[in-house]
Amino acid sequence: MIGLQACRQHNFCSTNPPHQLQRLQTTPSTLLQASSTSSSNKLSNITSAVTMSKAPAAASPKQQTLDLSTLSIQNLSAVKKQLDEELEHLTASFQKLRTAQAKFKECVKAIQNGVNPGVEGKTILIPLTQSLYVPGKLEDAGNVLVDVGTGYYVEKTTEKAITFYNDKIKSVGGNLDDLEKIITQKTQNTKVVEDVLRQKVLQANAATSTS
Amino acid sequence: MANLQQLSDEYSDLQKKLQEVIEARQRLDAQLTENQAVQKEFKTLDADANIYKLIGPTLIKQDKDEATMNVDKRLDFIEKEIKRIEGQIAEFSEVSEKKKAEIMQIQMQQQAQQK
Repeated sequence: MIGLQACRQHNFCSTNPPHQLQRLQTTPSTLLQASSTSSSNKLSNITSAVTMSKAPAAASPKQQTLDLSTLSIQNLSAVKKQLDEELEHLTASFQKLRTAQAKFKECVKAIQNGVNPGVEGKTILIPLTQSLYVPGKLEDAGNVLVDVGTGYYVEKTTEKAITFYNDKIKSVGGNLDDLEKIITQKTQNTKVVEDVLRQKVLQANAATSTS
Repeated sequence: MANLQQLSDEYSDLQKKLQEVIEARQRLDAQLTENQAVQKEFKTLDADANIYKLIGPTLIKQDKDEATMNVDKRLDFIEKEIKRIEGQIAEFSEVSEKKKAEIMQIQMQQQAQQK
C-alpha cells in the first residue's frame, strides 16, 4: 500500500499524463526543477520553467515547480520510477523514428538506382517473396506509385517522389531533434532526482544510526 | 481490512481502465497524424493526379475529390472520437482520484487506531 500512497500524492502523474508524450512534436513536458531552497533561486526556476515551455496552452497543464528536497523518500522513488518509464518510452520512440527515417532514405535510393531511363527496356528481377523472383521489364521509368499513408497511393514522377521522401526525411529529422532535446532534459531530471534521493537515504541512515 | 482490500481492488481496476483509454487515445493520435499528413499531401496534388486506394490486395483508382472527401470525413470522425475519449479519461481519473482519497482516509484511520 505504501507504493500506492506515495504515487501521485504530489500530482506528478496527473500533471503529466503519459499519453501526452506520444505526440512527438510536443512539449518538453512538465519541467521538474530541483535545487537549493533559497527563495530567489526558486523564483528563477519558475521563470525558466515558463520560458522553456513552448507548449500550446491546452496541452500543457500548469507548470509545476516543486522543491524536491521537501519530498519523502517514497515520493522521490515514485517520481524516479515515473521518469524512468518516460525515458524508456521516449527512447523507444526515438529508435522507431530513426528506423522510419532510414526507410525513407532507402526509398530515395531505390528510386535513384532502380527507376531511371537507363533501366527502361532491360530485364529486371521482381521479388515476389524474399527468395522468389520473376523476370520483368520496367514499362514506365518516369512515374512511381507512392504510399502516402492510410491506404492511399499516389502516382508521382520520380523527381516529385524524391522530393516527397526528402520532405518526409526532413520532418522526421525535425521530430528527432525535438525528441533528443526532451530526452536530454529528462535524463538530467532523472539524475537530479537520483541525487536528491541518494542524499535523503544517506540522511535517513545517519539518523537511525545516531539515534 | 476487507473494506480496504475491496477499495484497493476497485482502485487498481480503475487504473487499468484508465490505462486502456489512454492507449486508445494514443492510437487515435497516431491515426490523426497520419490522416493529416495524407490530407496535406492531397492538397499539393494536381487535380488530375492519379490516386489509388488499397482495398484488400488490389489498388483501385479513385477520384481525387472523392479521396479528399474521404480523408476529411475520417479526420472529422477521429477528432470526435478523441473528444469522446478525452471525456472518458477525465471521468476515470476523477473517479480514481476519489477512490484514492477514500483509501488514504481509511489508512489514516487505521494508523490512528494502531497508535
